[in-house]
Amino acid sequence: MRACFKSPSSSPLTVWLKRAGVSAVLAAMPLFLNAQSVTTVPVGAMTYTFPATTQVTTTYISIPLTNPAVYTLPVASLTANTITFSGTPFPAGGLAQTGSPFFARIATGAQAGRTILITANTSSTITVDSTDHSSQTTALNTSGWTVAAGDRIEVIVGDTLASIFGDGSVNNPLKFVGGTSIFTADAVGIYNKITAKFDAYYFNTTNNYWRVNTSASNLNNIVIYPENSIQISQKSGRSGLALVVIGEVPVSAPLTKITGSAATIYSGTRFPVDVKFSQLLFNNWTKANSVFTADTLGVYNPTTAKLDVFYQRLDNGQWRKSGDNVTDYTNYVLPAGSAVAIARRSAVSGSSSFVSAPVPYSL
Amino acid sequence: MRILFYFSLMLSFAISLTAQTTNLWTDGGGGDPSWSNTANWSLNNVPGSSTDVQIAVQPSAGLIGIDTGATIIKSLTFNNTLTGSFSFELALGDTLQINGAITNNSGFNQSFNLPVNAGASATWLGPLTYSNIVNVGTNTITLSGGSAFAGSDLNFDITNVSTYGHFLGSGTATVTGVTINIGGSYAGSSGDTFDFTTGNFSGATLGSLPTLSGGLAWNTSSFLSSGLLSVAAIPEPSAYAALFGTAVIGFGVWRRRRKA
Repeated sequence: MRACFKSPSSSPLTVWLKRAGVSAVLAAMPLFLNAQSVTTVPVGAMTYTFPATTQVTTTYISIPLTNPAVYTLPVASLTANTITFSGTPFPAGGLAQTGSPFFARIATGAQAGRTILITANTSSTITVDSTDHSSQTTALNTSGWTVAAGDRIEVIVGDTLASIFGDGSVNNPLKFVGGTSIFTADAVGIYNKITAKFDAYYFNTTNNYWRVNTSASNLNNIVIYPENSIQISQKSGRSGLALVVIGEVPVSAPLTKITGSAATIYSGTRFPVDVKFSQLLFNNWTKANSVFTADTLGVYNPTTAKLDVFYQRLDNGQWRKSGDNVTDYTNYVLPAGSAVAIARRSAVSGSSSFVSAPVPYSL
Repeated sequence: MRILFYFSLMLSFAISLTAQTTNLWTDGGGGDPSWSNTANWSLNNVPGSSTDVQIAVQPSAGLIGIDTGATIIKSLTFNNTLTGSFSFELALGDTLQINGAITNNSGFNQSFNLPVNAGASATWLGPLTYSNIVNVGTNTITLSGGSAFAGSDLNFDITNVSTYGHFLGSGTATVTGVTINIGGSYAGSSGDTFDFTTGNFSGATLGSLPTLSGGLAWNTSSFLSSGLLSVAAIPEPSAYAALFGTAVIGFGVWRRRRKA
């Protein structure tokens, strides 16, 4: 993966438009333009390179860049899953329309870095999915780890299957190859924390939309969460291609929801730069001298089509790979946009149900 | 007495039904080639890890699509009722693990266009083409009837000198263009030798090897020609110094004698 970034010299909105293909959103919510906050964080592009295939080839990616904020507001009050702001900044219902997802990113305070899907809104209040699309709920007002009045919330435009991978139209062409069956088309998998598996989608060239194998419903609007790991299976004989994603660089450590009790969650490093294991200083990370008692990080190995499982030893802090008792992987490099599988051994609640690593760069 | 007899008969029939683990692909899915479609199977359920799978009816879609993730079955047989070749394909990152034999009685070459994992030592009877990654693990796979490994990687694991994956057999197997990787938890012991095939790996490339403990190195000189790998101790620097010293002294003695 290749990434280049720059501070927005002219119009970050232009970048946002390119990324999200949000003409429909603008049509639905013209007030947003007036409310546009000019961001000062770097924006840039990540290029995911997919070489030509000579066999069925599976690749895992994550997308650490996000769309710029369209609102930045301080919290006035909150409940377990709602946040209320002063005034009437939003068009009622405008942040929760099918096909145009919006996320609330908590920018300051105890839960800074958490990015939550907005499921409903009034003119002053947003309701969020406090499960973080998992089987567990973490309340905004969790005791000892609560969002507080005055914390800054950024509302960002989310992505969908079609906005990232195309819808077959002239303005938004398909990035991968469609087909009449998932067994002949390229497939895109979006990790589902509730079912703990990748949901497999393909672009059906008869229906002319994204769907699953077992149902003919139009699924162009499936939401891609910022912390999603994405699995892509290209069939044999595909030409090489480059997937370019444009967006903002994380300026603070993103939080990734995990469910604990050794359950594996597929996500990403969350950073648009190469990261060494030594830089992944996860909070509450359990080191141990055995892979069976340590928290683990899985990285897909395209040579074996399996996960390599890494853990951090307690005695010397080195990163080791399960099954390899010799090599120190502390300086092992995860390329920008890598996907990882994270498993925390212990049961989790509150802040321990999220992992984050310090931002490995300064802005 | 007669009632008891019928009861016994019914009981034995029930037991035989319970023990039924062979599930036949009957292609009853109306053209849907999905492995997950229960209508494609004689038992109306998706095969599991204890199921002997038989492909009994030619897949009308020209393929069988595995869409059940990391799929594990007990064994796989292509019956002689098949009328042609077809391939196993995947939906999204799916794999197929066979914990027993693969037996192709069809007479037609059949292909695996997805990663295949050997779950146990077994015989793989071709003609079969493996067009994706094959993970042998630490199992012994006896190849016969013709096997073509045409995917990117063929992977063997080593646990120790007596437990490691390898090929046996007398049939024709080709590995042209394949990278052969050796993995596993093995850390090395001087003098250990591993024979990965009764034939050779001509046309393949040797990829990664397990990292050995300090002072040990792999000897790979015979790997492609005969499938052999061995572990040797790397001489310590002091051993090199002693060797050099001996050579210097020898040279000095030789010169002195020559002058004399």
